[in-house]
Amino acid sequence: MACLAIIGGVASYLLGGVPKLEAAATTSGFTLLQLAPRLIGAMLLAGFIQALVPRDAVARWLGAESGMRGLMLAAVAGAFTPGGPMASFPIMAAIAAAGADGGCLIAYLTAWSLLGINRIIVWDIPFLGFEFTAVRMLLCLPFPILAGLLYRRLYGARPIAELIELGKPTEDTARDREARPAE
Amino acid sequence: MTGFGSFGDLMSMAIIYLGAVVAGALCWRKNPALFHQGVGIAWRTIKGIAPMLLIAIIAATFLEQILPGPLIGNLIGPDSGIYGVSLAIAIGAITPGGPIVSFPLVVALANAGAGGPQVMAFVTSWSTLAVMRIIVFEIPVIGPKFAYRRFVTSLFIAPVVGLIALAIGVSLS
Repeated sequence: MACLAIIGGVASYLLGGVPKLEAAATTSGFTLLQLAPRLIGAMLLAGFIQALVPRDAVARWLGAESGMRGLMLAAVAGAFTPGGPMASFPIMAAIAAAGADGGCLIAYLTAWSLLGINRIIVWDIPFLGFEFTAVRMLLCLPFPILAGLLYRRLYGARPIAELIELGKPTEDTARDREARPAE
Repeated sequence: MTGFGSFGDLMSMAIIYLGAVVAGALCWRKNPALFHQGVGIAWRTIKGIAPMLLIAIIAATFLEQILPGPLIGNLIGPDSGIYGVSLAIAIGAITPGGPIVSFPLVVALANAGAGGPQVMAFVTSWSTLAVMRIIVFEIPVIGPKFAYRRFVTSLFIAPVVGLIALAIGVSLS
């Protein structure tokens, strides 16, 4: 990223000289001023949610469930799983080891990536605005379930524990999850 | 991005702070230690992403300065239709890094003239296909076979969302 910034800076200087650089600096500063208060609020909200949601309960809800109810539960859990891939993939591996079927895991991951509340609060709304984000969420709402159904159709509704590399999160990844900032 | 001080801007601010107050109160009622934990997580997050974000915003702004507006407008602008949506999906799938990188990039593209459905296709593709995330997280953690299956079952999502967004004429706020 730092390289990109430097390359971008040099390129704008070469293409447009000092005025381009000045314009970029002004826009950056303005963007920062605009984003800072929202990001601080967003981080506080995300932090409180992370403190409230018990991770082992998420694993329990998904462990044995199947059918349509399992997919829906998985999708809801995925949407509410805070944190980035550092959090969601180890949680998913643990759920898989507990015997969840592949369709549920797909619904969980798809919901986390498309509708993750945490990311929407921290990134989508501050950067893209409330209306655009609301439309995107509505459009994306059915897809975690559809992807889960497609998985079951293609590969069958059965546990996939044997496919997963990490049986359960190691002590390291667990500690990482605690210490790691949410994306 | 929504205009500074616009309705959408104030709305998102209000929602965020209302949510933070409610969640904070819930934490406090359950156990004051949870409240401190939440503030701690927030502080660590801010410390963790602030430097990267600063650099990403500067990089994206430079990019915005040198991106040829008319070209972006032609390629993924509001009138680029299904070709623009396809291109946006391709760019989204190969955009590396987390939201720290992708959201400033999205804003830069939008300011350079990208259209609403194209931006939505980009965000959806980046969320579901995420080639870099597959390499960095999925293959090591959930194994190549399941990562492949996840990729296959997610392939249809971004095109369908992009086409619906195109059909209903989503606009950037």
